[in-house]
Amino acid sequence: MDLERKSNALEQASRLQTAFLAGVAHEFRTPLVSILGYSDLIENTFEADRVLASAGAKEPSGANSENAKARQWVRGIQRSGRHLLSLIENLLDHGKGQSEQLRLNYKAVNLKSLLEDIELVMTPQSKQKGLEFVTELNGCSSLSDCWVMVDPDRLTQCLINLVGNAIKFTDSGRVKVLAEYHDQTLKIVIDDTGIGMDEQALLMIREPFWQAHHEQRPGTGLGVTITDGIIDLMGGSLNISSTLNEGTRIEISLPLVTTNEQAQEEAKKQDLDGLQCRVLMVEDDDDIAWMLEALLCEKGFDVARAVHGQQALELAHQLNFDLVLMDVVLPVEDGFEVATALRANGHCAPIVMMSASQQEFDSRNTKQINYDAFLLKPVAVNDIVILAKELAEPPKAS
Amino acid sequence: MINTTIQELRARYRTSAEDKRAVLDGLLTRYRSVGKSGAQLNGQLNGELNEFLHKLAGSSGMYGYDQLHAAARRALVLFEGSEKTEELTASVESIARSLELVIKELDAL
Repeated sequence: MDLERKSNALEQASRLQTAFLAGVAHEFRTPLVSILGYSDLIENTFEADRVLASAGAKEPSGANSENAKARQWVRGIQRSGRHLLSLIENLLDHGKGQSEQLRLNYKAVNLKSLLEDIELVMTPQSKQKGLEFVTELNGCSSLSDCWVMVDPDRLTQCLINLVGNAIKFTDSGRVKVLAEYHDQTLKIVIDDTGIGMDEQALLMIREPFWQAHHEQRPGTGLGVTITDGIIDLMGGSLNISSTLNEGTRIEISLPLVTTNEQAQEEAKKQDLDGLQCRVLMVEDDDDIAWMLEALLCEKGFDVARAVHGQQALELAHQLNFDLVLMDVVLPVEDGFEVATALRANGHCAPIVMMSASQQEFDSRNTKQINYDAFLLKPVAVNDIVILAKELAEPPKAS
Repeated sequence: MINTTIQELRARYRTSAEDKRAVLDGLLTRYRSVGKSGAQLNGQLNGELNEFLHKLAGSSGMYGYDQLHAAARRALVLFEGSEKTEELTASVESIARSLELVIKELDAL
């Protein structure tokens, strides 16, 4: 009886933890998506100015070099913001105990650019501690040699976790990231001259919520756990060796599913500039619709809007759409009913449902499934762009 | 240098915030006259207030008006819970103040 009571109490504690994490993740996510949306618009302004100046349509001015710097800073905000967004979403995954359900999204990525991103995000932290931060790429003689198919968001997340730890636990000297690409294997080594770990710590380091030197250098204790899970999901391995007071060396080995040439070919296809996408947005809230429409138009999408189901059906009858963005809460019929009606009328464009909360989505999602993907509001426009590409053309590598 | 799209969005949100303030004033007056229990019995008022708070929470978050977003979320939680009329009224009044701040901020830009 006592055991049953304890078991129930544990279950309840677990449910509370999940609800708490979901709440925290949602609260963090909302302002972050707004920051990313605005930074996208600002970056597009700089890009438009650059294009006009190079075409001679705008007087070149001394402000150009300042703009170039500001553009770099905005990109820094975007990269860090997107990383933070993925961390929040992972925290939610972990809280739900669903880390095994993480999905990988393989894309062609240039290794040199990936390392530059890591450098851009991590250099301020290392500078703050007076550390030398070095990245090195071996096995690629030129930029065109460096293409690989990986999940860039997840791999970046892993590297930021590991490099962040290396900086955190190093007080003097350097942190080095070395990437090597040969024999269809990508090897990335993160090497530091930090305080290192003893054998006991090495045994525990992959455990969730466990933290080395917790009192002096607190954290969530999830970084290595999540990284280990992701690398495992990618079919790779994570080896950690360390000597107390000398430093730590972490080696990631990832099997690559394509050659450099295949990945390069894929990169050309996934160039989003060439993506022509006509979107039907079914959204009754003007403010949300205006913002989404503005962001999507900046990405080159063509957007038509309906404010209720009947209008959506009429528009779908008149025009061909590549993608439907459907709010769940709509006047008269809800988003699921409208999606069902669209399908019943023979419209086969992919449908992406949008809802302000997972719970709201789950509570309404009781009808026959007639949609292709779900996005949590506020919707990050990059997620729409990625989905538009994915749903139009399923990825070859998975 | 400010993107013209951002300027347009701000101008639209400025107009929309004004409309929202008027709708909120109306809802608050009706709500005060019947109280929470009365509002729960009044399906139309109940639905209108819930929908208004829901939309306000969604759009203010997307535009980066965090204080307004938080106030709308708090009111939604109170509205769905069993709190007293006075608490919800105070919460809705704080939304009105946040809306006022947003309008002033947009006017100043």
